[in-house]
Amino acid sequence: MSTKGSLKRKLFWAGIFIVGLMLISVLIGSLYFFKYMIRQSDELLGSSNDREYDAYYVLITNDDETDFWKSILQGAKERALKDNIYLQIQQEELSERLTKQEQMEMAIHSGVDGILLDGDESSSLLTLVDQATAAGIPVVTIYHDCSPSSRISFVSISGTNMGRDYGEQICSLIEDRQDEPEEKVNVMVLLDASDSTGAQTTLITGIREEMEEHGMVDKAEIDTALIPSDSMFSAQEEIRKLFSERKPSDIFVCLDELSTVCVSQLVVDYNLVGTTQILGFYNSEAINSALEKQIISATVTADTYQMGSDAVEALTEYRQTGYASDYYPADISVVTSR
Amino acid sequence: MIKSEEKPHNKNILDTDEHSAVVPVKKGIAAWPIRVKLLAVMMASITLLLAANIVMYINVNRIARHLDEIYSGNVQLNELEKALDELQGAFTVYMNTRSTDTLQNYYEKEQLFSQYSDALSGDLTDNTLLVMERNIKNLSESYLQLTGRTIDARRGRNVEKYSAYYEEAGRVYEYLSANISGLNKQRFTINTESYETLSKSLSYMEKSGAVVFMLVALLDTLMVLMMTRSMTDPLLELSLMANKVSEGKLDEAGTVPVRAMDEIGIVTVAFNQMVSSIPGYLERLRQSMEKEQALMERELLMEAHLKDARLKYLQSQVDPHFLFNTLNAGSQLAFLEGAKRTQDYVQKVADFFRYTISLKKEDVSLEEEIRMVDTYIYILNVRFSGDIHFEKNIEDLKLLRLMVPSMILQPIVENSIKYGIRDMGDRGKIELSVFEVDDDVCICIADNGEGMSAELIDRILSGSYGVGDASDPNALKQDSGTSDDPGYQQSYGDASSSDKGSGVGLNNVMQRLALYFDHKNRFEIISQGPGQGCEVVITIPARDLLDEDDD
Repeated sequence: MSTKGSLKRKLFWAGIFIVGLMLISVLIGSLYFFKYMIRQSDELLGSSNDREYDAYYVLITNDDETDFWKSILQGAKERALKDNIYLQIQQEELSERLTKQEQMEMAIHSGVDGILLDGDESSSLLTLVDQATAAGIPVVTIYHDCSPSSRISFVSISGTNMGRDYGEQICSLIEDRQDEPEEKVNVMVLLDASDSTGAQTTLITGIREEMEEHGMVDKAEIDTALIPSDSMFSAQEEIRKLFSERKPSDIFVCLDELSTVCVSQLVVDYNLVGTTQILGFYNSEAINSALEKQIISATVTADTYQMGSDAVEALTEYRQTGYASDYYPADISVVTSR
Repeated sequence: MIKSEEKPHNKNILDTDEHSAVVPVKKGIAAWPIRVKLLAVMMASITLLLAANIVMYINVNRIARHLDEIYSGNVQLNELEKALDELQGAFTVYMNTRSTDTLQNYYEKEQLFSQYSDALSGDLTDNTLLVMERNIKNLSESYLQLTGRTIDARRGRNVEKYSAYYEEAGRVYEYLSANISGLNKQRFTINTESYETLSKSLSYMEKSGAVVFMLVALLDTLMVLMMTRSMTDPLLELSLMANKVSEGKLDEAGTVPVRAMDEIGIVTVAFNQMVSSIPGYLERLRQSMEKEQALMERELLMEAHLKDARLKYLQSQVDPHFLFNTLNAGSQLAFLEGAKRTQDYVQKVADFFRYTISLKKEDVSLEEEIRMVDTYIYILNVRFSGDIHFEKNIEDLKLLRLMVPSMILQPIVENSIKYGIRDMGDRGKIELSVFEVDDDVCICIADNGEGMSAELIDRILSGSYGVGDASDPNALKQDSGTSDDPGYQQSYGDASSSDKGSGVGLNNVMQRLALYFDHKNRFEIISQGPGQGCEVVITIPARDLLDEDDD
């Protein structure tokens, strides 16, 4: 009886010890748990451990949704981070879309330290670039220039080189069409209607030069069409007309990502895959997919990441030294469906 | 023997070594008094509940405080937006009216807006919200500068300038509004996430609170059970043992183990002590009862013998009474007639019979007994012409105060006369001596008569002498055939008198002496053989008497 009683007492003590331990664990655990939850909540509010930056740059473009500009932004951001600079597309945080002019004006009044601008040669933008420069904010233009303006540097693809690459691809496609030698191949170059910089003229010149070199000028007829780039819908409608209102060209040369995607979709819609060749621009996921399906014959792409990085480098260099290179050419390459 | 079994009663019951040998007595908490244990359990329970409540309160308080803080940013931004709208309104009104009141209103709104915008963070961090705050702050400054310039130009009536500034200020106002709205929206989204996180925490808190209180309740229950068991278990053991004791199963009733020296432990020790002392008490009670029984038996036996002796006298009571009265009448007659000797004789005979008749007491003094023998000898000497020489040697008169059973000397003397000196005529001699030997008193009745054989002495002393019951007081006389002896009858009178005598035999005397003195006396018959006389020696313990006299 004594042993049994002793065992019971030991069991009681063990029970008390275990329950007590559980209680203490739950109490201490709850304290830590709720502290953790509060910390997590604080982190969401972003009130602690934020990195402080030395400068603030903004990137201004209307096409920030495209992969082309996303890649430029990525390159610019990573380069800026190295220099402890915060970089963002300012309107990303706003609920409404702003024009480049509005973005420029907002950036100037927000007291940014540098602006990366997808330029154009509109007078309002030129004025704003000068206004920014006057306010001590250096502006670097990317892809499209603002000329003449007080921007410090221009980072872009060389129009001549790009035209030559397109020309080479056109020649290659004409050679593939040797079965129908009596007819001239119709080459349609889709130009950006808003681009008044003359870069597109340079590009067409480059195509012609390359075709001449290959002796293909007589075999092809080069047409151009101006495509508005201010909205996706207007661009698509304008391109659709090229398919619906006339005989579709044999070769489409697209100079931006948006028109490339639109044309490839219309080729599919009109069941012209294999008949109508597309020479695209950039290598976004959709374009790569079209390449794989041989909807697009080839695409000319630039090192957009490097473009973003170069633009930030130019700004930083200018801020540090007061000088920067006037032009940063981007590397280009051609990807074919073969 | 009894003393050796007794437990020392002055022993402290708290001395637990003896009564708690089975289970070692616990020290520390177990030894606490029950009221302290109860208090400790209560305090522990309250402390646990208090601690659990404090922890839960801290958690709730922290989360509630954070919940309050979560939307404070939105409130701040709403106030900023409202102030901006009011400022823009005041600005527009002034630009339209250009009155002093509206300007005053503008300045008031500007001040208010400045207060709110100054409170914004100007830090440039990777927190998008703070970057937006910084932008809003800078935009606000620009806006205020522009409105200020616009008002200055308006006051200076520089239409071109103030129109340009006004338009620019309007655009900046739009950017500012867009940024404030954007920040407010983003903050609200993030705050909502934060709120949801904390709301989730609150639901966890409900569960953890329930778990905590369940654990506290479980712990309390265990503690209370533990404590009540520590109180009830010893009580149950105690009651079981008490039941055994009450059923008289003392052999099965062992020692109740004492686990702790609390109140129950003290009671248990006392109980164990009681149980262990019960056999001793019972033994003493048994011995006391036995002793009492023996005393009662002795008393009854004494009473029986006395009754027996008295019966003998009662048998002859009618005659002695009649005879006594007659003798008294004779004594009075002799006195009237002047016969002095006759009167003395008759008086002595009357005294003798009065002594035997009035004998109601169990014991008498030795002096009374000797006086009785004197009377008896006087009567015999008168009857038989003074043939018996009777001598008394009393060593010390104090010895006469010795208390002895009644009627012990006269039968011995009577036997000495009847069987010792009956035929010796005037040569017969009887000597009564009373003397001290150490702490004893010796009463010696010696005669110079016929004496006794050793065999006869043995038979008399062993009580086997005589026919039938050895305790028959008349056995000696019947066996010896003296009642029919013609010589005796001739020398000492009638047969009836000689047969009955005083009515008490030696055997009766010996038994009464033994009973009276609790076998501590000695009864001896000494005779050197026939013709050598006989001596009866009664040795009686008399230390008390002697010590008393010495004092």
